[in-house]
Amino acid sequence: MFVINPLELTALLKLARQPCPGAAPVMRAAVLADTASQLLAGSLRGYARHLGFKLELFEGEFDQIEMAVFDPASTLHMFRPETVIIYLAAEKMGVKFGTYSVKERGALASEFASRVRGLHQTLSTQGYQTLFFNLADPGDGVFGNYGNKVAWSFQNQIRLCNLELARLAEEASDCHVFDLAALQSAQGRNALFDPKLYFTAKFALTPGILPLVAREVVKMLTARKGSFLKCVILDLDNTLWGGVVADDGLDRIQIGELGLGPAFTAFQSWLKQLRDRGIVLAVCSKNDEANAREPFMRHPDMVLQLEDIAVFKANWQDKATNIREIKSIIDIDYGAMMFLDDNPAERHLVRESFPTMTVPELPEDPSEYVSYLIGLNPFETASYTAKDARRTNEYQVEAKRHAEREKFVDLNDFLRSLEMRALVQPFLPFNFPRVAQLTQRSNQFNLRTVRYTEKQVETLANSAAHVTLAFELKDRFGDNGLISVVILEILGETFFVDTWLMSCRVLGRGVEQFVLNTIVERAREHGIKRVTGEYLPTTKNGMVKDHYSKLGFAPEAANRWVLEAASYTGWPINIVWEKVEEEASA
Amino acid sequence: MSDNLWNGLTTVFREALDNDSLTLTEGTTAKEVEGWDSITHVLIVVAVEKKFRVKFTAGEIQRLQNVGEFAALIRSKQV
Repeated sequence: MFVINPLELTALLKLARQPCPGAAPVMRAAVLADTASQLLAGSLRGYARHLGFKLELFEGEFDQIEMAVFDPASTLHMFRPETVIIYLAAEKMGVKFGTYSVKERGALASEFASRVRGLHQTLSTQGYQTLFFNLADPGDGVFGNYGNKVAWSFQNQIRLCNLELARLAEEASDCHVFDLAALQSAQGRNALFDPKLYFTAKFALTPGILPLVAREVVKMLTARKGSFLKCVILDLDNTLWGGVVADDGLDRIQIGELGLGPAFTAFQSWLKQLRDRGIVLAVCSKNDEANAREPFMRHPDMVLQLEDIAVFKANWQDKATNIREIKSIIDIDYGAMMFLDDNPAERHLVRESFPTMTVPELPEDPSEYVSYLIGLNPFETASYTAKDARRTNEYQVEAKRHAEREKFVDLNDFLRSLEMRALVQPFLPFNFPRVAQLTQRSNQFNLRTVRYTEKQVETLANSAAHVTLAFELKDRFGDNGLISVVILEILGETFFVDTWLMSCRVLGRGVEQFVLNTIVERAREHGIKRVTGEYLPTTKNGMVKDHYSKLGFAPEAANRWVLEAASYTGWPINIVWEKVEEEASA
Repeated sequence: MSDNLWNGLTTVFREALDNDSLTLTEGTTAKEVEGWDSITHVLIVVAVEKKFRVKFTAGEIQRLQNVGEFAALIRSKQV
């Protein structure tokens, strides 16, 4: 879920003092700063609480950053945060700048680079993530605009510092930058900084700006916990273009140069960039499908093309129904979706039907769409890989499967027609990252919801006491990639199912049965007599509470089931094994 | 002192110190009030500035030590 309106600082501080519900997911972070950071810490706590997270926060001593980081016995290291937030204030550097020689002034950015690199390196060795604030240029009237031409001017050095930080963050996956400079250019210098609070109380950020800072930083932390937006559902008429295509006609809708067309073109161009970085776009419009598709196919000024839209729903059903159908294809939580529609009544309906969905109040004036949405910064993320950009295509393939499914009366006929092939492999270095990611992300089809890091996955792969299984699935429409993970612990003559999870995209295809056949086959190879499974309930995995009994396991104790390998006959399946080149065993 | 000023100040202090039963007198000093430290002092100053549409100087912020001084200063700045 995403919070649109930031709270007031006093409300945040009040929230920060309230105890968290016991079930709230926990984040551990430390704040180190060279200015007063108590209110920053309080706002971070308050915001995390507001979003339903419990933030355990270590507050470093004032201006003792290096002491805390480089002393291995410091209280920081005893605390063991997941993330260390470091805020070095440009104002502090500005005050010192005048005491340096001109030569030293010209070296400010390179000094800064070695400082942040040193800090990051030490924290990285400890396995912590580092989150640096970049520098908000305080401005200096020393050269005026001419300062751009002088290498040792403060403004040039500050900008170079920010580039150095960005470079470090690009190189190191565990280093992140909170763009305070961007916040300052959006909100203005006076919103960020009040000189009298700085000189009397060492506050480099005003109480007024702290809620926004906290919102952004907490969003960066929660994004690492898997909480971020993944999908945008779009209306068409008066949202993607001006006018109503069915009434106005293809040549009279506003896109390109006609009327307010430039504003809609800019909006589409922004959406296109989101799509290219892996945000899934879907269309949900009350229209005849042919009318709705026409601009995409025939209007020369459309930036978005049909191939950019993962799922296209244009019909006369209500939007909630359509959104449920979209979800059945793309399998993204409602909480990770944003709904954009110019019609307040539709927004209301969607908000009521899906309370966790982000439904911004789009401005009435379409020329404000983009700047309004940018101001919300809703698309914070913790990672980006080139694979993200291919997601749209995967969902389009899934939509085709759905369409195909509707043609068949008999489920078995449909499953056979898919020509499914499964590749079964143990955990191997190439799939460690993906296996770890699946254990961290899967919530619904996950029997025990045990989360593993890449390092732990590697340990399991090398463990003699475990059998690991990674399932990839292909069919005639394309490659589904890694869709199921199983970890079996060998306990004497028993396999204990430590982990069994599956991507919901392949529900109803007989993958569970195929997986169980594989497990029993492995059991027989290892001389194992029985398989024991356990279900640990969470708020999200209710769909698998009868998983083991459905597969023919006998109840053994509360939430525990057992299957005897000898009497297991195997489920009929429509998936064929795909042979893998034998890996040369080490 | 006007009731308006006094009520306004009480509201600001109660909010900043998160204490709804706090009562203030002219002579209440920072030392006597639990939670009135250098950090909440900033919150109080900023909230007073906003509420009464006045601006304090850095020197005034450092000097202000009790509620009476706050009230007097606000009065002197309000036209």
